[in-house]
Amino acid sequence: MIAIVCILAAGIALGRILPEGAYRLAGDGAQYLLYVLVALVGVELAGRSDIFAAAKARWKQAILTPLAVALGSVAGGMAAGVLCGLGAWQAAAIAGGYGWYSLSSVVLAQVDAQLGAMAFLANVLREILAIILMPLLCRRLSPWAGIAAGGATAMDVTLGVVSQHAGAEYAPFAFISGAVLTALTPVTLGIIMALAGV
Amino acid sequence: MDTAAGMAILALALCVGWGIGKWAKPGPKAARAMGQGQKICVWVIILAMGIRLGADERVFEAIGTLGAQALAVTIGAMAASILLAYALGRAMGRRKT
Repeated sequence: MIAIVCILAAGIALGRILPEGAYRLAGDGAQYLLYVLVALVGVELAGRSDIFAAAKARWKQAILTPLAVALGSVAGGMAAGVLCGLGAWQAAAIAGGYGWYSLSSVVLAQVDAQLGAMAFLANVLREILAIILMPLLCRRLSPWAGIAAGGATAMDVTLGVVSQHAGAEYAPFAFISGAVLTALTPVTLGIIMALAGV
Repeated sequence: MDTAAGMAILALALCVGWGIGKWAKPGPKAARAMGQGQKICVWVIILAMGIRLGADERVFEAIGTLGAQALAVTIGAMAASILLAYALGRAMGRRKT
């Protein structure tokens, strides 16, 4: 956990001093490295024949977990937001990004620029906190808690972290959960905004 | 890149990796090396994410004014989703025994 925080802090410091081209290069490089990471997870999965039997046995949990994460995110985010003086639908919409900051910030900025900025910040924070807390959640609570923390990022950025700390046997569940939540993000935002009448 | 294309590429990368693993059947030494490779990939991705965040003025502008509320929403959303997923895992585990 300390290593992750140090690497992230070093990256933020580098981002403040590097020229514009360098951080664009870092972004593009990270995208390709993400594909390599996911492929490496795939290689690891192929060597474990027991994983698919376990996944088959737990298919109900694989489907229900992302739905529980979606419900918990919106309800928990809304409750916390209201307590901090935010409007109920604004807080629900921010939390309904499930960690997908690029989409939620763009969609909500069309309604209100400040709301877009807050959605960006809140969902970036979710990704950062999920990476930092993953070792603790997987070891002390449950690998499912780690997958839930990652939200939509469980299929990409946090997939490798889940595989590292929960074991490769949880990687298929993390991928499924992230993919379902990624697909649910535009739907959730659409429903919340329609209910709010914006 | 749109969402569907992004998801398809990631799913393809997973399948390609799985295919390579089935074909090459890496031994314990290679598996250990791949574990190290995964760790290095994760660290570089986190470093790149930090660089992107550090270079993004929107994040720094928003932290001062909206940071506390954004953090509260994030913590609320994460805590409730973790609790629900954990409770679901416990309930489904109990049903099996």
